[in-house]
Amino acid sequence: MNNTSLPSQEEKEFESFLGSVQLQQLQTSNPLQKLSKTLLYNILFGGAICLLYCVAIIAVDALIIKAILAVLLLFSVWAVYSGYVIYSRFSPQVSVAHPVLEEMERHYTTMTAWIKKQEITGLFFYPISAAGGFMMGGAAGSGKPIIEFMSNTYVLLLLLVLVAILEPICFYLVRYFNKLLFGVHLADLKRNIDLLKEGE
Amino acid sequence: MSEKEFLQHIRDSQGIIIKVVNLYASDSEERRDYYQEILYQAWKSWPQFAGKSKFSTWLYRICLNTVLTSKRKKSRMLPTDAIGETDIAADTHTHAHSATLKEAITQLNDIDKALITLHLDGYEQPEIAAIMGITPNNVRVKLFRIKNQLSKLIKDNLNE
Repeated sequence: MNNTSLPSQEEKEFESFLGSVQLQQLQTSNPLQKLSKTLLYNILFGGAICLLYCVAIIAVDALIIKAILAVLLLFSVWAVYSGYVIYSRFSPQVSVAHPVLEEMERHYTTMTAWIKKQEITGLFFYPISAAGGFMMGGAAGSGKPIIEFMSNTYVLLLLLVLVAILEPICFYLVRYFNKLLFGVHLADLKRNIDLLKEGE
Repeated sequence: MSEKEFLQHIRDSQGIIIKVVNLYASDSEERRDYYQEILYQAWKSWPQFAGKSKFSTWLYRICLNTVLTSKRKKSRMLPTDAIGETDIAADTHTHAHSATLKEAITQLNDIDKALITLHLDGYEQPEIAAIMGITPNNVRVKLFRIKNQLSKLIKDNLNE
């Protein structure tokens, strides 16, 4: 730009930055990039869980257990699929084609969709997975077949109490951490979107 | 285009990056983070630059889209000297006026900072509207309000 005087502190800083930068090694710290990575890990982890359920369905004999595991498998497949749908829409790169308002709205809606997905996962996926683990772990630990282990009334009650406790804990923990990580950023985005839309 | 050529384009228009970053960054660490993010996004978007718009307008879009969608690390209150000595200075006649104007601009919200900077850089209202994604009429109304706010802030700052 039209600077005719001595370079400012900022110009010196920028010149020093340009002198040391390696374009191919640059990394983005865009929040969407971080969410995208987390979502990918979730999908991979969910895929592994699905495979484990498949193996368990084949391995157990009791029809009722097969049915319970099949329900868990269906739920896991749904969770992985819905995660993939959000992941496929992620574009961590800032778009030049979009004006500022559209780009801020894209970031905001993508992030809120991701957070909603995480909250639903917290509400259903983690407690149900824990219940599945409880059944299989309990059976393995007691040395009894799963059906015999689960036929004990106290064990069933314990399982219900466990799920009832885990449901709100998982949901509010997910909500708390999302707010901690992205609450301020989302509030900034929303405020700026509203400011720009004002008078439209 | 080679890296060397790309970096030369960036050097030629570095004033835009420095100006936008100085509007929103609170210290040198945050400035460096923004430089890195803007350069990353510009490099990744470079193949899409078809030359239909001016390079400076294209770079302005990259800078504003990047900065306004980045997660802030620090508080948004900026020190008075956080805005660079760039084209804003051309709008005033003395260093004192420039400093007063800079101080007033730092007190504006994120969106008003972007709008007034584009305006002071000579962009027409339809161009600002296209960059920001609002109607030219809304730009006109907002600029009118921002100018009133700036003159009030300058008066208040001078009276203090």
